[in-house]
Amino acid sequence: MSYAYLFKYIIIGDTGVGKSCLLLQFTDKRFQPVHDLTIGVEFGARMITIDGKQIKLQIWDTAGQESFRSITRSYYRGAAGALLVYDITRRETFNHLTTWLEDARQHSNSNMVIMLIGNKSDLESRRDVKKEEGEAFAREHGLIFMETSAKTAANVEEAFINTAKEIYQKIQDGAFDINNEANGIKLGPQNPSNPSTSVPDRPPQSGGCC
Amino acid sequence: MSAGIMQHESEAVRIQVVYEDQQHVEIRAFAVDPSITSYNNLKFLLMGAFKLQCIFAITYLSRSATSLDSQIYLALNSDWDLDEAFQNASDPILQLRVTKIKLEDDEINLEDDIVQRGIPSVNNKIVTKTTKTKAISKHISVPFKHTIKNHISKRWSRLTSAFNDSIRHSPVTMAEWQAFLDEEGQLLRSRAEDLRMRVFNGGVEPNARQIIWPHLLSVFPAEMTEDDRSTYLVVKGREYARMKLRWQGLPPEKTADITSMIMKDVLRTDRSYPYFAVESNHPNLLKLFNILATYAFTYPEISYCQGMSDLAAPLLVTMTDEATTFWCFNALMSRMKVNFSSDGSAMMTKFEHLSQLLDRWDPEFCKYLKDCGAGDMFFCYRWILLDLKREFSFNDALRLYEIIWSTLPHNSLGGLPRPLSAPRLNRSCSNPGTLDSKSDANCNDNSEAPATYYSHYGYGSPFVLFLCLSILLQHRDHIMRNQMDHNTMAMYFDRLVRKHDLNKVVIKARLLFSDFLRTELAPESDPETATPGDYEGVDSSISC
Repeated sequence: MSYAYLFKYIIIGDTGVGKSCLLLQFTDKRFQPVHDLTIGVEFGARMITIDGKQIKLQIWDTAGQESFRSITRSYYRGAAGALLVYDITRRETFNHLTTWLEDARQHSNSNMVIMLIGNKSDLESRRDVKKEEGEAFAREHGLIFMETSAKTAANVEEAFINTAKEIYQKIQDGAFDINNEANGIKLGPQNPSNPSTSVPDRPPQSGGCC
Repeated sequence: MSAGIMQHESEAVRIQVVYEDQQHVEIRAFAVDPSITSYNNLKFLLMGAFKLQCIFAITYLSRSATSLDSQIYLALNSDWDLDEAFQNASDPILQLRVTKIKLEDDEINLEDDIVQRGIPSVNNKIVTKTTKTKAISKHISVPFKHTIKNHISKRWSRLTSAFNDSIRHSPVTMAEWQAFLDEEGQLLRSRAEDLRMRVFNGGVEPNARQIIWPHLLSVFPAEMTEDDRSTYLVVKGREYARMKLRWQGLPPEKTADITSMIMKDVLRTDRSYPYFAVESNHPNLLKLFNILATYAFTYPEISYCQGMSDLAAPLLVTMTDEATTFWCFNALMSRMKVNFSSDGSAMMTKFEHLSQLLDRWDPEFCKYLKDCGAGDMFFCYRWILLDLKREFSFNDALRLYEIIWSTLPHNSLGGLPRPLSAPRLNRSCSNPGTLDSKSDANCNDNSEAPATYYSHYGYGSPFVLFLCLSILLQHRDHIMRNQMDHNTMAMYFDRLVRKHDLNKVVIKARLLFSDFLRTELAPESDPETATPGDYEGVDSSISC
């Protein structure tokens, strides 16, 4: 199916916080508690609509424990959005956020939109991290924040879509150079801005590695 | 991969094949030896005879039906079908019909790649001069190329015939295993290499794996009698129990970080495979947990990393005994642990070697990858980390693993490769020992005369890289035709997880490996006699 834009996302966070489950809930609308642990990276894709435009999300779901840092760094290459996930029932996953964030900021482009996600909100009785703490962390670091449940699907759509809206807004504001694929945004064939499709009123495509 | 299942009395079967497509009809006739012709052989013969570059179906005329008015063609899809056809439909002539199957554009056409790169032609011989051989020769300086052309050694021809045999060899059975032993149950050094060659060519019957795998993994010191081995396992079992008690006796707060991570992963490892499709407190899962935890606490400098549970799972499913599995895992990890080191240097070396090999066989595709930002080969990360275990179904991964282990010299698993020299095509051991029954005195890496081959390539496990190369070459046309960028290609291979066809990948990997060994083992490429010029071109190819 054709799309106006393609956004590349990366999902990061400690092992076992539910990254793959969030992805599966978003792409397949199902919860699969027993899922093979991710080695390296796995992928998902889904089409969404924002402002009447078709946007394809290409999502890189990374392994939580990665000994080989060069690989992890390579995943950030050209990501427009990142979902940084922790588990509200395990404080240590929240404590590690700073490290994840440093990594993300260091290896991604400065415009990358980061959504902080406190997952497993269905496990209220085992909550170890207050919602306010997540909100405070997000405020402090300029992130968007949501609590989700990959199990009940609560807020899962919103998490992915709100991130896309933020990216879309940045495009409208001119913060993203959409002609540079290193920003994790690709113009689709149906996008009138795509120089390869027709409209000549934009500068010719300048970058792109491939 | 398996040969004809049943014994055949006749030495040759005449075959008439009709190939039809929309444009024309073609008929060919030839004869094959039914005792050595497998389904795969036949397929390759037909591909060669009709220059097929597509997926096709084979049917044969049922003789039981020819007395009737209508002719019935039955599907020929396996060795079993072929045996049936040889037995019941080959008198006086086996009549086959080949029809092209139309594929969607984005389906993967593996056959065309194999055809292009040279597979047995009608005369049942491997076509060794292939497109890719030409590609290599471009990188080899003239005198060396000339040498290869004119002086193919006896050593090489024996090796080639071993490779040619590969597609018709069946898995090693328990009965055959017994034949490898002397009266005391000792696997003699001389036979140990034959065993490896057999496993390389045919794998191991599932019910013989429990016995043969520890040998392939070099769990036992060489030349133990059966009694010695039993005693050894008892001693090692006690040693394992002590190692396990050591960490279990530590205060939980000291172990919790690692144990909880391991348990989390054990609960997410191959749970769809019946052995692990059990309740979360089932002994099978506990065994896997104990093995990984004991390893992690015994070797704190390596500890536990994600991926190790994937390596241990096939061992446990096969060995079932916890202590024996631990020692097999321990042996396997002595080679694989470098993959998990935090500096990633071994992984980087392997990516680099894979890139070099790709450049040597397919410079065009290598350049394509480089141009689209995938020249670092990181998209092959999981393949290399886990010796491709996740790329195949679980049962195929068992076969894959034993084939990989069979290419490693005895005890090579027990030690790291020698320090890496400059990344060039030099060999630390070109010992063709049992292939030639003549030991190479210069081979100091392994005094045991392996049929297996030690190479710096792939950090001492070169064949794994050839499996990767085989997959890459099978998909290169599709990738380039669709102009996939780096991201799209990574996703493309992700979709193929556990879906690769082991037979196709292994057959092609053997051919590539054979090609590689040919240049490596060519007499003139001996490090003692080779001149720098011999390698000039090859070295310059290390650039992708």
